[in-house]
Amino acid sequence: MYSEQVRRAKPGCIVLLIDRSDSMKRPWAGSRLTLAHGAARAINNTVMELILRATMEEDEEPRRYFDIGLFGYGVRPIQGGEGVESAFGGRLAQRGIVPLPEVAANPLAIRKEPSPDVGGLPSEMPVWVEPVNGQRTPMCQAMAVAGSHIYDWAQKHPDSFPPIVINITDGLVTDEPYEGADLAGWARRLANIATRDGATLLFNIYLSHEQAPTSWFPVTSAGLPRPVGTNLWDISSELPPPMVQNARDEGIDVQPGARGMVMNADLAALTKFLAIGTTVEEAND
Amino acid sequence: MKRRTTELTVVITTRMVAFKQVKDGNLDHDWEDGAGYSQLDPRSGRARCVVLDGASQAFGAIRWVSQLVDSFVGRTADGPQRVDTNHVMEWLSRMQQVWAQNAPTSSSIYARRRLEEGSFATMLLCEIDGLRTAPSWTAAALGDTVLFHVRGGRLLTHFPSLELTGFGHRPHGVHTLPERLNKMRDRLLVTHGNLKLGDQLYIATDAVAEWILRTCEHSGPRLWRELDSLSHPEAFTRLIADRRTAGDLKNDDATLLRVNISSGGPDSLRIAQ
Repeated sequence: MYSEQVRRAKPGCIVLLIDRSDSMKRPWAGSRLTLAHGAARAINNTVMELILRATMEEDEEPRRYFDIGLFGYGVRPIQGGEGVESAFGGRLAQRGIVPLPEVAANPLAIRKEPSPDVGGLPSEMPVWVEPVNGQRTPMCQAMAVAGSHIYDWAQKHPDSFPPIVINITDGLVTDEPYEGADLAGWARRLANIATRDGATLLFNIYLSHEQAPTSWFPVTSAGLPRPVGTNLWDISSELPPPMVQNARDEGIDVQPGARGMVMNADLAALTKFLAIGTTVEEAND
Repeated sequence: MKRRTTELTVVITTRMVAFKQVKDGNLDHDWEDGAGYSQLDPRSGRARCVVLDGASQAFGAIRWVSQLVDSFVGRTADGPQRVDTNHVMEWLSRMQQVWAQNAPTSSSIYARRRLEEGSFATMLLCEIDGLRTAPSWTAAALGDTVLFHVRGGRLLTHFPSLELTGFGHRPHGVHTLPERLNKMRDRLLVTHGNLKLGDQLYIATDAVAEWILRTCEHSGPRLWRELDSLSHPEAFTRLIADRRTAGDLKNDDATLLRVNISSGGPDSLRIAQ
């Protein structure tokens, strides 16, 4: 289980659920960004990294190692009001799970970013997600909507590495029960979607606007703040061996039974968590 | 003192052959390893062979590996004069310049960014010197592509002297970026060994090398007979397919180059004494 390499014939699937509730306007502890701005930046960097890892030869487009879904919950900038919608914009607006080459070909914009080196030229950075915040936190609906797309995807890719869902949030769910199920119920439904290589992985990251110690991959919910921490721990999947190795490569001590969850993440922790959670061995074919 | 030449004191011939098998599900042109050789040249008394493994995450690995193979075996005129640390490092520096000069301009922001990151491959270079009274090989290595020296059905040595746990995880290698040269120099390994008639050298990329090392621990003679008897690409394809099915071999590009040291033949060499 969780041993399939991603390749063009068996692409993987990565879905990011992005909290766009009003509270995401708060400043991120230790940075000059709001939670929404920081999350958007980390997501854009992650999508860029996935595309770069799939760009193998000078004369070919990025390879389809992954299909990518980005869903925002909270305010809906395109449809209006509160709910869930694709966080893609431009030509990809309203799209669910999109093959990586199409994602690569259709960023919302390409912006100049200052070079980290003194005197260096600015680099070009494609953008797929803009920071947005408003409304409450319909997390159950987000899992329901994303789950329907993930179910369709898994039906079409039964031999692939199972879908990876990463939920980025700063708050408590506000839409329980949604269509008769609470958050844990929707998470179970998500985890019931499987390929032959394993069940869908659901990871959670809680962003904190306060300076608080970061908890990486907890083995138990003891010590996590109630109810937000314990609820997220309950619905988080156990880290499979490839990602345990990813975490160890990043210098994080991961114990057996660790859950795919980070509590009180700062921007650096979010970026690292996304790298750990979205790195699957590529067969390079 | 007058130089004396002994007629046919030692006569060697190199017979080299390279086998490859791409990853399951891949096409031949996706092969990102590289292998090449030049048989023993009676004038110089030297033969060369090289195996490289383009890193699975590396950009432009096919171009980088091809460039190094072609240069080392003399298809282009810019190979290293000798296989020693200084000559190899000078050569790698030249190769980095050639790589940069030949880089195509791309309209893709992704390809441009990847080009800035450069490419990477593990490497095993080997030169066989037949001009001495005792023929020898000299090899240079960066990473986990491995040379095995076999005599009489027994493994004499393998180079680099990796253990089974030493394969595949972030190996050292040859990078296209000039700022990596110093680290490459620090990590470059060079060694040599003597050759006798009937010896074999095998050079294998990591998946095959790991399997060889594991197998020869308990059934060496049979393994070497099997590898020595490979005479057709189809036989290698079957061998790799069988080992992958049995779970003995990781699904990775598989490359094996074999050198047989024998006597006689059209490229035989008179050794001056």
